[in-house]
Amino acid sequence: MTYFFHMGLGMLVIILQTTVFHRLGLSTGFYDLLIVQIIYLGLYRPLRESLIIIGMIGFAMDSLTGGPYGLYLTTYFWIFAGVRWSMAYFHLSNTLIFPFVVAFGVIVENLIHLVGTVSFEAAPVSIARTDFRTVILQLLWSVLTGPLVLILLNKLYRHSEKWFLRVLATGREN
Amino acid sequence: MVILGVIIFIAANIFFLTVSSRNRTSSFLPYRISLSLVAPLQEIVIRWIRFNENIWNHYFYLVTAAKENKQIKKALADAEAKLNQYEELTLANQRLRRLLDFKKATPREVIAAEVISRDPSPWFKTVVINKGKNNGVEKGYPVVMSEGIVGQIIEISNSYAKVLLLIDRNSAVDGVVQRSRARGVVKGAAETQCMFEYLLRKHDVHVGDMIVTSGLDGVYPKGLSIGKVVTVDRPHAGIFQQVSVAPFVDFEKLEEVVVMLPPLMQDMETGR
Repeated sequence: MTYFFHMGLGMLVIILQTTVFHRLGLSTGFYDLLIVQIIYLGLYRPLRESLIIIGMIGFAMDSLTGGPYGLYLTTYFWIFAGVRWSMAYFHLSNTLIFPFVVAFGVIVENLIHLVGTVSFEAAPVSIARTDFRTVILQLLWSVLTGPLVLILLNKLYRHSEKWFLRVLATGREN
Repeated sequence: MVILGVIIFIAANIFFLTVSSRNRTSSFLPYRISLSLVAPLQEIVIRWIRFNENIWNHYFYLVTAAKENKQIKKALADAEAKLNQYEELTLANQRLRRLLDFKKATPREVIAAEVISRDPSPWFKTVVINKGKNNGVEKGYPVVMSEGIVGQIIEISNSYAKVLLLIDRNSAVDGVVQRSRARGVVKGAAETQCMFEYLLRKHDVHVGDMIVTSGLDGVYPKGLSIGKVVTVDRPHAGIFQQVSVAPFVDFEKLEEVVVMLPPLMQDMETGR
């Protein structure tokens, strides 16, 4: 049920981000919503289960982007690892810390993408002022909406888990 | 005796009615009193009835009006949706006509495709189109529009292909200044602009000059529009000029594109 839920949600977010978000003008200034899902996996789900889901989502994103292969996989893995590692030192499941956790995820993604853009490409590439503006906008959006999305995701998962268990129990009774 | 009494009563009654029918216009006091007493009550009753009747009629009228309103609103919404659809169709028709004109004008065979998604990362500029190997599209084929070049195919599946846009940092197109034939490389730089690099200081280029493909990169045919020069900077040091170019294609509004197929062997032999 966890795999089904997270992969289904991941696919939905990917489709929305590559089709609808552009039409809403959120293609550059809005952050990658999958970061929130990765943070959620890092905070609340077991390691093995999370790694499989991250692998699938990262692979799907890599197949749609123009960046080097494995860039999203790397990004999501490091965000996940960062969240897991930080949990040993900070109480990350505290709602007040959520904005910082999501902002951390956005910074990690943009840093890895920047390194990916600059280092792994054949020709030298330039960084424009608009790139910094994009990152700042993403950070603002993530701080403002990220915690809410994280809380909603947690609630949605709990509800769907309860629903699934109820359906399962009804099926057994019958 | 009784019969006689009845007869007398009937006769008196007839007589009374006859007399009273002759003086109908004169007012009779008991009648007036009776009228004054009953009429107000009648008025109250009739008003109450009319009031209720009014409410009832109005209620039904309102219900009917509400129903009609609902139907009219729905009809209006349908009409607006249709109008919007017609406008979309008109715009699509205009775009497709331009593509068709372009298709007719170009000597190479082309395949029209629709953009179905965009790159999820703001760091990379790619789109996915709904044509792939099954349609004859291959990696490296140029993607263009009537306004100018869009990019080239970098990945392909059976039914879809990924296009690296001209504005991506990894995109490089060999171009020339149309007026002076000065050669350089158009590279993606920022959201809406490209850089025209490796253009020697001695070469003649001005703001407003048109940049077209040179055909020397082996991807794009010669003479396709790329963009217009927007700034020219000649730094004191260095051998190259810094020229920025605004592409003719609006990459934010990409919807339909055409993929150019390579020229056929017989066309190449005949020099088409």
